[in-house]
Formats: sequence, structure tokens, C-alpha cells
Amino acid sequence: MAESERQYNHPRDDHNPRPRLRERQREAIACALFITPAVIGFLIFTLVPLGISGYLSFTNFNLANTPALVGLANYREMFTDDLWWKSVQVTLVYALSVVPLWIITSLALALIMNQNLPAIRLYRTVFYLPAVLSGVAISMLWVWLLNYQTGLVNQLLKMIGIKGPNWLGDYNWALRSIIIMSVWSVGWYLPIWLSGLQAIPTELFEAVTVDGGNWWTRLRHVTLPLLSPVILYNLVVNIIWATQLFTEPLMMTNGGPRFATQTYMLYTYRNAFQYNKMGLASAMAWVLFVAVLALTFLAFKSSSMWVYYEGERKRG
Amino acid sequence: MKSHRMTRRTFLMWSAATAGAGALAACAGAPPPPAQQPAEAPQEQPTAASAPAEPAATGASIEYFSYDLGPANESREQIADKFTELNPDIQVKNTFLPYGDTWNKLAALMAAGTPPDVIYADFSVVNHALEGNLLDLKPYFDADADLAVTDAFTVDLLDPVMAKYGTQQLYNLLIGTWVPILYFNMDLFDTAGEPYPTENWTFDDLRATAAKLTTADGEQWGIQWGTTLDQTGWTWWLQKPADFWAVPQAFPAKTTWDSPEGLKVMEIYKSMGLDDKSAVPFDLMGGFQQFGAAFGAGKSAMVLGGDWDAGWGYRDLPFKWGMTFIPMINEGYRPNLNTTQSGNVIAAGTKNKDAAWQYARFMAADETAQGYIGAAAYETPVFKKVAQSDAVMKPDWAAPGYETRVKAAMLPGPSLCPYPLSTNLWEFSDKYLDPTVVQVTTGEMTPQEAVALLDKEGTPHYQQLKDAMPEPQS
Repeated sequence: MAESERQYNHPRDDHNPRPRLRERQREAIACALFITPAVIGFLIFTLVPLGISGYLSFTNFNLANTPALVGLANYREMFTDDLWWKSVQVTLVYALSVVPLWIITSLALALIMNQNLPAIRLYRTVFYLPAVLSGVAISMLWVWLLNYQTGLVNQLLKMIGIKGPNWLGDYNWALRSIIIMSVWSVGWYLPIWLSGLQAIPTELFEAVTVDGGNWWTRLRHVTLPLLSPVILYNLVVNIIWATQLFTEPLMMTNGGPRFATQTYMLYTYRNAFQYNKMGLASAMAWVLFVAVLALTFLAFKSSSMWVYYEGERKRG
Repeated sequence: MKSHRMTRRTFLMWSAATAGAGALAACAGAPPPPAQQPAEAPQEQPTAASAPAEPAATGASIEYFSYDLGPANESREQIADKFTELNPDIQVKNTFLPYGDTWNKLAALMAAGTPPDVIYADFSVVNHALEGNLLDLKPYFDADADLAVTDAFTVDLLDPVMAKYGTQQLYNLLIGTWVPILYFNMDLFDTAGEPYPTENWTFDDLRATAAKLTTADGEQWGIQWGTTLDQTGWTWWLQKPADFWAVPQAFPAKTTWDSPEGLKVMEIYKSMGLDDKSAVPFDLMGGFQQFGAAFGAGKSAMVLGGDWDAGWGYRDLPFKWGMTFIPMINEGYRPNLNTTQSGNVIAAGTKNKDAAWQYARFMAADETAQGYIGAAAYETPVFKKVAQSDAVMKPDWAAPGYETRVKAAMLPGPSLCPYPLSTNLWEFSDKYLDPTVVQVTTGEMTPQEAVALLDKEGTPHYQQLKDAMPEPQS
């Protein structure tokens, strides 16, 4: 306190009775300068298009015409379209399958990669590599791997006497194949998990060990609670990603066979750019936005029951 | 002092909200275009645009906008070079884009008021025609005596569908034609001792031969339904709406799948797919990595495809193959084969109308330009003198029956453009036609159920397009 008073009473500051405010103003200006490019980008490339898409969802815009308002016609068409419901079903099945798979497998992988093993950095790099590859390239790779005639997967199965399915051409296998493929790129989450794991104080593990706990006790009572904010983050991001699956079904199956892999985003794209129903596609995008927002809201609401924030005081 | 630090919870909420908003924004698409008045006839009287040696514009630069034509892109470069050689004051810049991107970018350019000058177009631009974004070429056409000589061309340059898009204006100056073809693997026919298909074949002949060329082990089939021509696209050529020929009513008000022809088409799918199993199953089609799928892999004796496949990918196949007309549904009933036609449209907003017309006209009716088009073999030239030349009918690499491309294109009658009749019919094909055909071949749907469903779902799409068309003027 005395140090602060000495600073405030410095002779050079006599003309300004509130130098602390000036410092905060400087900080505010610096803050504004730093965030301005991002805000401008957000306004121009996100908020304005978002507003336009909201408007277009009530029009008959077809890319070539002058949009005319059609009220709720696009929303009515969407809810009465069997293929829209089918795309919702495909997306839900995919999301409900891959979100738990992504979280469990990537966390398990991260727990292994967090060990002090020889050449661990090499392994971490190898597992992270798929994350830096283009989705199109990965899709093409898997198209070759899963080719029912010449693909490596079926060739390997053939060696052990199993006739592999028509992975991408069979109605019942196509979506499963894309789900399997999706798990391949879980390395994307490694840095997030590892940063969370390495932030856990080692004293806590040591305390459990001293108390006679085994690896499961450490995982159950230390690792998972302290990782729960990261789990929440991954859960939210995974829900958003899973509901926006697009590249893989487009490249690998083009939504087929018979719409078995036509996800919500793929059907939205089709309506927008193949059938030129931009108004309908905008309505679909808004419905997805609201649905994802609701799911995210639920995830956050539930977080008070299972997410532990160190230093956060429990309410109530 | 109150802390302004962002908590992890807040940070996560903002991250999720931003990611969601970003994804939604991606669906906003292009901004709506400004309202445009219908294209007006050119203000100035067309110059002697028909004479490439007499430039209509000086110091002009025009952009030729096209989807990627693969190996045929070179022909467009040759045409541009030749044109500039003859018209030194007009520079031509070629722009090639992937097919799907072409139409999205064109819409954006139209909306921005900066369209390309000359556009290589198919029926995908019908919406632009209806919105007045395309130049009416009729005044230019009427001023050109050479173009009015109908006998000089393999097709009618005033075709109500492909040239006029069902309107009263002329939008598309045709440069080439496409027809469906029955390709056959001569090696497989020779091995089986079967005679090659002929232009008098009916689908019954096709069925009988396909069954003989199908092996029990599932390694070889008699027929494959289409490749680059989508898997069921060929059926459009057979399913001729009863009132289709009522010109100028270019667009019927309803589909007529529930007709003897439509039912026959579905019976063909059923008999060869389900009963004989002589057709490559649709769910196996994607497993072939070669150009031409099972046919390209030498595992299908025949394929129904577009004639562009001949010049684009089949010429490199490692076996002997031939071409002929697609079979008749019944003896004496040959559907019109002069089907889709390629051509150029001109943007109403071009700043170089005369130069753009001059270039479009050069591509359609100049012997050298048409020769380049013929040599590229993507489409068949419309200028009869070139189309019927040996260079086009019998190029060095030509397979037996290659001249079918020209012969089929010259069958009488207006062109039938049933394939991408409009974006709405793409939707119809994707949603109803293709899945229905698949279900017929697997036995999940009978031919009767199929045609009933196709008419129920197809008629609204026809009606939608018809409603968008301006009323015919008396």
C-alpha cells in the first residue's frame, strides 16, 4: 500500500490525480487494437453472412434470382421432407457413435502417450499426423483401403479366411465404415489431452500411491476429475464437429448408397449448390445451428454435476 | 478490484458459440443479386460478326468461361489462339473451373455485375436465362445469313430446348452435340463367340446377349448401366413424354413414366438386374477404380454411356471396343438420340457484346474452330462439313462404329434434353429416379410401383419448371 501511495504521489504525476485510470485506459486501447482485426473479421465473415442466411431462409433464393419472401415455406418443406429426416437420423447415429468413441479412444491414447516411454515424442508425432492431413486426402486413402475388391482391409481379411463386406457400397456397412474411419484421426485431440494431463500436480498421484491406490484409483479419483474441464471442451467441440460431417461422405460415398451416408451437412450442401435451393439450405443451416446450440447448452448445464474446476467455489 | 479475467467456463462457451456461428455462416452463400431487367436486344445493329476477318470490336478483351473439359481444354486454347490470330484486336482469356464450382462462381459473378463474356453452358444456366442475365442472340443470329442455312449444320441451331431453353429468345449458340452410345468389349464378345451389337438391336437382343456374357462366379457381367452418364441417366432418353413434341411447348406439364415405354424401361432393369443378374449391381459400381468402372476393368461386356467417353477415357482402354446406337425399346421404336447439345451463351452484362458474339459465332461456324472441337472428341461438331469429315468420323484412334456419334446426332427431331433439364430435375434424379431404379434391380420395388412413384414425384418437378417459363407468345 505504501509503495502504491508513493507511486501515486510521484511529482511527475501531480497534474493527474488518477494515474491508475490512465493506465487502464491505455490497456483498454491496447486491448481494442489487438482484438479489432478479429472482431472485424467476425463481423464481416461470420455475423453478416449469418444474418443474411437468416434472411435467405425466408426467401426463394436460387442463386440466380432476386430473393422473394416466402414466409415459412422453406421450414415447412424441410419438416415434410423424408430425406431431411433421413439426414437427421444419419447424423444422429454418427454423432452418438463417434463422440464417445473419439473421447474414449483419444483419452486412452493420451494416457499412454503421457508415459515416459522411449521415443515417446516420435509416437506423439505419428499419432498427431492425421490431424494435419487434408480431409479429402484421408478420404481418398480410405476409399482405397476399403475397396471391396482390391482394398487392403479386405485383402487382409481374406488372408485369414474372412470375406470382407462391401464397406462403402453396402447400405448397412457404409455409415459404419465412415465411423470406423473417423476414429483414425483421434490424434487431433492428443495435444489438448496431454496439456490437461501434464497440468495435474504430480503430488496428487503420489498421495494416492502412498494411500495404496492403484492406477485405476488414480485415474478415477485424480485424473478424470481434474481433466473434466478438458472433457467438457472436447465434448462440446466433438458434438459440433460430428453434426457437421461433410467431407468424408461426400468424397467416399457421395451420400449413398441410397442416402445411407447422406448427413445433414451434405444434404444442406446439395440443396444449396446442386438443387439451387439456397433458401431451403439456409433454413436447414439455422435449424442445425439451433440444435447444436441446444446440445451445447445442455452440455454446459450438466457440467455443474460432473466438471470440477480447481479453485471454483461450489454454489448453494 | 474486480477481476476481468475470463474464466475457463466462459472461454469454453465463447469457443463453442464461435465455432457454431462460423459453421452457420458458411451456409449463407452468395449475397442476393441485384434485381435485373430482362435482357434487351442489342442497342446497336450487329456488325458483320459472321466474318471473323472483319473485327466487330477493336481493342477488346473477352473472357471465355467454361467448366474443366479435361483433355479438350486444349481445343479451347487452340480456338482462342486462332481467333486472336484472325482478330488481333480481340484477346481471349480462357477460364476453366471444376463443373460444380463453375455454376456457383457464375452465379456470384452475375450477382456482382462482373460476368464473364462468353460462357460454355448447358441447361444449368436456364435460371440465368429466366432472370434476364443472358443476352438474346436472335438479333445477331438473324443478321447472319450463314447461320440460317439449316442444311449446313447437323442440328437445328434454333432448337426450342437446347438453343432457346424453352423461351422465345435464342440464348445458346450451339457448337456440338452429345448422344448416348452402346459400347461393347470386342474381346469378350470374340471369346464368347457372340456377334457384336448392331444398330438394329432391341433391348430384348441386348438382354439375351448380356445373359450369355455373364459368368456364374460374379466376375463378369453382360451390361453396365452408365458411368459418366449417371447410372440411370440413359433412361431419360427412352422415357419420351407423350406431349414432348408439342413445340413450342418445350416442357411437358407432367412425367409419363406410367406408360408402355416407361414400364418397359423398368422391366429392363428388373429382368437384367434381378432375374438374369446380367447387369453390374449398383452397389458394386463404386468399387471399380478404373475409368469406365466395370466396363473399363474388362468385367462388363457392354455399357450404356455418353459419346464423350469415347474421346475422354475409353480411347486408352487396353482392349478392343466398339460403338453403336443404344438399342430400341421395341422394334420400330427408336427414341430420339439427338439429345443434348453444347454451346455458348453470352452474359447480358458483357461490356463487349459484339466481340463476344463474334467469338461465339467463330466457335459455332468456323471450319478451323469446329475442326479443333472435332479433334478433341469431347463433343461432335455441329458444322456439318466438319462433322462428316474423315477427321471427325474416322480419326486415327477411332474404334469401330465411332461414326455413330455423328449419325445419331443427325436423327431428325428437336433435341431432347431430359438429363439435366433443370436443377430441379437433378433433384428428381438424385432423390427418386436413381434410388427407385436400384430398388427395382434388388426386388424391393416392382416396375409398376416404380413408375407410379416416379410420376407422383416427377410431375411436380416438371410443373415447377414449366411454371417458371414465360408464357409462349402467339
